Amino acid sequence: MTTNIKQHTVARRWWVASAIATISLSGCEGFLDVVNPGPLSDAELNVPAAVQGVVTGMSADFSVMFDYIVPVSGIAADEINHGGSYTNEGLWVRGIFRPEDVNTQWANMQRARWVAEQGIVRMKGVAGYTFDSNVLSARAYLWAGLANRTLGEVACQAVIDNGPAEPVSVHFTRAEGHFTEAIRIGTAVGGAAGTAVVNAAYGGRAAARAALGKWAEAVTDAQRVPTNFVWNATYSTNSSRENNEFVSETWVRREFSVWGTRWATVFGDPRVPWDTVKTTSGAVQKGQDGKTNYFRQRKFTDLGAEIPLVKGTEMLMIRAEERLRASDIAGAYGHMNAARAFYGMAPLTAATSLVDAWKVFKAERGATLWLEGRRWFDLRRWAAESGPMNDTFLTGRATCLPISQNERDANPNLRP
Amino acid sequence: MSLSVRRAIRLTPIVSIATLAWATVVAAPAMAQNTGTIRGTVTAANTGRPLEEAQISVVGSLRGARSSSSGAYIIPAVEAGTVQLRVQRLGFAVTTRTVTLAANQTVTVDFALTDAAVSLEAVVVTGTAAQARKKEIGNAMVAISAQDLEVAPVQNTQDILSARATGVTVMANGGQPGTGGTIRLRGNNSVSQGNNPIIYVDGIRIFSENGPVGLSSRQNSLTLNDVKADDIERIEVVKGAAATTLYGTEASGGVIQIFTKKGTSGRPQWSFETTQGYNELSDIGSEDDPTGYFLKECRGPRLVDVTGAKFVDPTCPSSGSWVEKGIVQRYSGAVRGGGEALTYALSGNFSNDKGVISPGGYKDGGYRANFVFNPASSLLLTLSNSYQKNYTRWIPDGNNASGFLLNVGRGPFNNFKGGRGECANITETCVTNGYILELTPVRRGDHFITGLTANWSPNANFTHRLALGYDYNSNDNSDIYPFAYLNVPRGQIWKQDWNHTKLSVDYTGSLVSTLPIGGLASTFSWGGQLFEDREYYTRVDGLDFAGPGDVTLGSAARTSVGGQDRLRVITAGTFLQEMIGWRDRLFITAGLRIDGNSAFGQNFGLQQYPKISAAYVMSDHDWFPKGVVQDFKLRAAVGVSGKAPGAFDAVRTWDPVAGDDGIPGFTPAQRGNPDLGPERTRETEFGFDLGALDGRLGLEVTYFDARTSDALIPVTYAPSEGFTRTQLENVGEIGNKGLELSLNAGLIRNATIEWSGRFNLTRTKSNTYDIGDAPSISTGLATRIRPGRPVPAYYGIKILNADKFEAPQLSTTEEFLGLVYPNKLYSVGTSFSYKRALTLDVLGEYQGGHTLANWIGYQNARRGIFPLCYPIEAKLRAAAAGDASALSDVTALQRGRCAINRANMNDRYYIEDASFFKLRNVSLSWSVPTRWVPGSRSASLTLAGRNLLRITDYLGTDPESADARDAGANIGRRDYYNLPPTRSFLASIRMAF
Repeated sequence: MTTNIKQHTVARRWWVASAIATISLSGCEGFLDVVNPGPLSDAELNVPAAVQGVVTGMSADFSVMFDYIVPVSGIAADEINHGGSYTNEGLWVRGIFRPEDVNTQWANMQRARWVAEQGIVRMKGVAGYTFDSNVLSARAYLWAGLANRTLGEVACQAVIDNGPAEPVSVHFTRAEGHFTEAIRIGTAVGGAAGTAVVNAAYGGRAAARAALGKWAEAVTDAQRVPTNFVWNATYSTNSSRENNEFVSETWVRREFSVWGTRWATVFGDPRVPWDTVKTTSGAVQKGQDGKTNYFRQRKFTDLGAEIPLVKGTEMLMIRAEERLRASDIAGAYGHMNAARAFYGMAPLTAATSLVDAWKVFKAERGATLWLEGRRWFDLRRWAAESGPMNDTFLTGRATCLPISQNERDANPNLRP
Repeated sequence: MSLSVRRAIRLTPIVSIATLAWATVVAAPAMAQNTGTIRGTVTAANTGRPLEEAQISVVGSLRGARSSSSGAYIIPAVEAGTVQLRVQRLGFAVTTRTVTLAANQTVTVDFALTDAAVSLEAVVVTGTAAQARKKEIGNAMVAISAQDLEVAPVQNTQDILSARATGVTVMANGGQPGTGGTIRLRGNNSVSQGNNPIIYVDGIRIFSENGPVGLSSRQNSLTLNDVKADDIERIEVVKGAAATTLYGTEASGGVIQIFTKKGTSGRPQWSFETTQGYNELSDIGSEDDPTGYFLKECRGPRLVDVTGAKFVDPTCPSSGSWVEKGIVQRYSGAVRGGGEALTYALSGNFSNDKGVISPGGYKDGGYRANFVFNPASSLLLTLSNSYQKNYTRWIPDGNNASGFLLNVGRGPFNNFKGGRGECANITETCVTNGYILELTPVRRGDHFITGLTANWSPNANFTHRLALGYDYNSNDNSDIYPFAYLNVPRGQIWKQDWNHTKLSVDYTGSLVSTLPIGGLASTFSWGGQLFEDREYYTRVDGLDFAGPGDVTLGSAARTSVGGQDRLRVITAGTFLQEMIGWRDRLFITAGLRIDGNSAFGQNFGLQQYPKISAAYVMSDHDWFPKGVVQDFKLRAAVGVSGKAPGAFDAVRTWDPVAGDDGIPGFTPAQRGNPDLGPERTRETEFGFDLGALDGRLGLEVTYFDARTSDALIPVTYAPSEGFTRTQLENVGEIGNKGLELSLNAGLIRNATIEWSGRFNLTRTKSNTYDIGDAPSISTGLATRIRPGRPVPAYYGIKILNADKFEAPQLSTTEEFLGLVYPNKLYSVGTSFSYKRALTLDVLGEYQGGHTLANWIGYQNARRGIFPLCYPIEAKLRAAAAGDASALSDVTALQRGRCAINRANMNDRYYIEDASFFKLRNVSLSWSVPTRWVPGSRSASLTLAGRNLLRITDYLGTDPESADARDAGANIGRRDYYNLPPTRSFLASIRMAF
């Protein structure tokens, strides 16, 4: 018995010792604290040195998003056809957009907006960072404006930060405000960097204001943008995330083809470059689906190809449309021909009727902005108009991208 | 070989020598003690067959031995006096004998063991803190012995577990040599954190997940398979939280513990084995498609699409088939022996398994060195080392634009056309799939395990065990598109460098005592564990080579880093356990484990996992009628274990990215949750073990009910809040319940004939009780979890009148389409031995109740290249042309699957019943008379076949096929152009000297 008691005592010491050791280690401050490299904690971004990265992140997230939007809106708006193996694209090309199929596109658009808008809030609070006199602040507002412009043009409804569904005009209004701030700060900063941001912001605001029906103000802004100005979504071969994947999809995988679109009958237009590819037997190469003729877009030909977001020629189209809306055919043609001249194209002879002028204008705007993610909204807003402006392509087809299923499931303001 | 491995290997002999030198010094006094030697043989009582790998131990000390292939054993340095010898071996009753031994005396003690299908006295260690007899534990446990493996034609270690135990699901995933399978113990208890069981080798915990998925192979390896079957003495499997509580966080998927062979005292005993044979692919897809997705036939009149248009492949081999016999060559050798205090077991192995598509294959070689040093009866030191180096030449596979089956199977709609001039004069569609194989996906793996275990028992009732372990895994994966590759003319290289180390310190103490209350005894255990995991993973992509030749990343004109991860996770825990035994027949055990983990949220503290179990051996009562049933134990257990979140899951983080052409920036990564903790699986199980008919019949029945609360569910937050990734939250509750039945019968046992049979049954029912606010959670590949439904299941639009001869009627909402994992597992096996010379062993397995996404069928049907749709589509076209009678025998499901208007097809129509029966093993083994092999102790010749028969209605490649995305935390499955599991024919020769 004595032996047992002794053994118990000894054993108790052992387990108590091991338990204390382990619990002490576990509870000991820092023992289970592990620093893993790679991701950054949220707080690490609240320093002046991180602001550049925060703004670059806005640009990067916008580019990733826009790389998704260009093909989606392109096949929805007859800019390019789907000739590949993807299930969702097979529906979209037929004008069928279901909430469960657009989770990625919706999330990327919202991330681009949120990153820019929350980044601005963060930057304002960074001690030691002079917000109103740094071109990075102007760029942040520019990305916030462009992200809202894209959401306004692509989405069917606006949802802000887990809020309720609202009209997409909310996005254009927010975009207008962000562009205005970009202009203010960019102007204050000046120099080449500031001026570029200001030009882009004027261009962006012109589009937003046009979408809001403020055509006179839109024209005022558009006039400030030089014809040769371009502000791009940046792509690069530097890393795979920076790639223009649309190039890979069209050049490597043959998922998309110009064949079957209205642009397949447009030849020799420098704004709508495409070609055909033949197999060794001389037949036209087929798309990834093995059926669709593969007409290859040549607007973007390498993984680092930039996608324009604001262009001086787009401004000419805004001004032309404003003229047409005022039934000024000659004025409209003046702007259209200015754009054509910029591309080295012969001028058009002005149409004699508004109906014909609108047809020509729609084609000119379509060619000028081909595969730049803008035409779906053009068709949508023209579909809502009457008279010669009216366009019927989207009749019976989705006119915009619905709120995604993930947003509907997760956002309490959207649940039934 | 990586620098780290080289360093580890260099250190190994140093550690070994140092350990032995130290041990020798310590041992010196022990050698001088008053001791004697016990030796003898162990045989089966009924048949007289020598029994190898029987464990003979001196009760109350750490002295012991294992019997050799001739059944002989020797235990030196046994303290003089009266001792008790205990012998145990799976399948036989534990036998104890009292032996009186004088100093310097050698006593011969032979044992003839009687059959025991249920051996309650057998000692087990997994899940029990310290050693425990099976009669004492309240949970079910599976043990698989070396004998089961000797005649089985296992391709790798995962095959050992297949169909041999209840509650264990093994799915092969693919047929390429080197492919890791999926192992589940009692189903899925975690939605997000993986369900692989944790694995111990000789008491050392190793990394138990799969390695990285090869970018072109779309497959990965399983570290378990680096422990070679020839080296395994036995495997213990405990399956649920009720049994794994003492393993704490990460153990809810169960525990597999592998014990490798140790040395035996005496002169060196050599053994050699060679296996020669081949793999072949005969079962792929439906028998109604003899081309086997154009793999088995790549030339001839059957190369047509649905319209009858022919296509040709001038690169098709002269045999007319891409499939060939893949030669299998395996060699292994071992030597075991030792002196009075030190025993050793050294083994080496080499294998070269060719795949069924050339040049795919798997080469593997390595060694194991186990040393056991027993300098005193109170001290036992074990040093175990193993190293495996393997090389896998994959065939591009799965969801991959250069995947071989993807391109071959899609016929004229493939990605490789034109070739290099072969198609010049060919008018039909000309495909050139042979060029795919110029793509070289390679995996080079290194796996090094070392462990030092010290057992110290200052007296018979007081034991300590300390184990230090180090497990190193590395994968060097490269996928090289050579210069002038057909679809990537300037070439490309993808590199993945990955390694994972696990450092472990594991201490357990135990005290056995008799309590001052009538008939009560106590076993008190305590301990603690510390695990540190480190993982490094780098992905780099290189593009454009200047010219042909072997390439490295430096050969590429452009390189980009796909990412680099460096992760470190620490888990520390302690436990205590008390077992009270009453008259050695009723045992109540209670335990508690406390864990901390570096991945828990900052607001989350230590985690407690309690357990309680009871075992009641009713047959030990005098009143128990033992006429038919000799052993009967009731058992019940309740326990909790867990799964920790990932390293970054609790913290709000931003990922560094590049933008604006190479300028650094940040993007939202993880939303973060400072309250994040582990999910907890509480399991209740009860059942009984029954041994009857004098050990000829064993029956084990277990019912279990496991519930995972605080389940880590990947919650999707509103994307409008900026974070697009899901965030793990402790919001869910899922469960598994089921019934397991294992029946073993020794039908005939005499000197002439041994005939035994075994039957295992497992039925499970999975359910989702809660997933928080969301109506469902996607688990990928068309699978979701939904309240009231299994985890996970397929959902989608359903053809409501599938079997009726009418137009499809579609559901208007997403419907439940089927389980992803089988809920019915049956296996049946028999072994017949004649005069101990000829042994026939057969094992078959049925897995059922589940479905699989046959998306090779769907994708091919969309393209008009799914041969099973050809006759149906012809009828649909006839009907469209006005012949309504053409559809009189076409079901709604067939019309949906083979719709002429492809827009009416839906991939969910291809969620198919994946139930199957496979004849896993058939082997015939002949014990060659030793006189024919001079100098040998034993020799055998075995002819074996694996997967000889497949019965299934599944139309995809194989019901076990799965994309590698299933590995690790992903629990969805799909069949997507994977090369399916193969059949093997093998001949083995074993010799022992």
